[in-house]
Amino acid sequence: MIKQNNKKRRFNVVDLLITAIILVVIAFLAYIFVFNSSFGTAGDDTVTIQYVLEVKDAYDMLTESAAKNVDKELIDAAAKFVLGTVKEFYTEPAVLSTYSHETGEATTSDYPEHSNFYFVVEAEAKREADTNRYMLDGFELSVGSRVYVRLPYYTGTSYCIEINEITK
Amino acid sequence: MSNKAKLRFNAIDLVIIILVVGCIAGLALRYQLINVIHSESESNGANVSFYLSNIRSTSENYFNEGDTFYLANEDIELGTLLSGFRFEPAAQYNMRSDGKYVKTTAANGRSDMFGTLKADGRFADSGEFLLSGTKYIAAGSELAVYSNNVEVTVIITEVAPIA
Repeated sequence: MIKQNNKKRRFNVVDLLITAIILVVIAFLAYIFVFNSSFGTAGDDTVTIQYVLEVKDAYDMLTESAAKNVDKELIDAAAKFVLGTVKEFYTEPAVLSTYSHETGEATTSDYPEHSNFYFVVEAEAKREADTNRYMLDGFELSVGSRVYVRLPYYTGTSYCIEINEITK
Repeated sequence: MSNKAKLRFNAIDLVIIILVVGCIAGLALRYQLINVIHSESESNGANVSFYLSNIRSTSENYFNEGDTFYLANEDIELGTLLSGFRFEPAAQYNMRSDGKYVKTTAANGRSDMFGTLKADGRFADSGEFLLSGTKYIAAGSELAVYSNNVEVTVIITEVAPIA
């Protein structure tokens, strides 16, 4: 009887495996949550920012749909982070860098039936100390970041070209 | 005595239950089952307009009113082709000798297509259209699609509620 009890309490391979799985899961969760929440902990500021996303060389036929997204929530299409609210939308003619055979010089040309789209987005963000990088709902944003735009009436690939803090 | 030992709830049972619950939760997230369930009561559909560029003009014969198109990668029904679709000589943007680009149309038998599909799905509260209640699409989506006759890649230009 005593022997049997001792046998039951023995730490075996299955126990080791279970312990290892639990530790891995805890470590993974800690990594996900602690890493994100501790983004630049020392000296972080939560600020309101306005940033501009540029979609280059978009078809003009998409302009109307893109323009309907003002006051709509912007989501990162890749990881589903909430990236703020679109405050303004405008377009500029798409311009191609080209070459004139007549003058032998580099020149530019409008790209017919294409425009650059600009979304001005406002969001609460955490600024990493002494940098121009911001964390928005887990998404790390800086000038040059690629953002896969998911809006109710438009989707596309954009790049962040400008970030301004509007309040502290 | 031995029966009691067999019935005891132990750590392995707990781990198995956690894993099963985790799998179910994962599957629910993956297939957005909540949205599917939700969509059954609110499915209202949309007219999804698209642009298809630079196909062979002979391929025009493979598009017919009522054709059903599916997303190539996910086997979700995109919609049925409505009448009124049209073909135009394919747009080309060519550079002149002064370096300026001009729009021309293809002289080599290539075509662009403009059409609309009647799609099944629902509009979320945010305004997003969810195809079949699960798959987000919007203007700008580039989708590989197929019907019984043809396989192409289209760009969605508008998603409008069915009036």
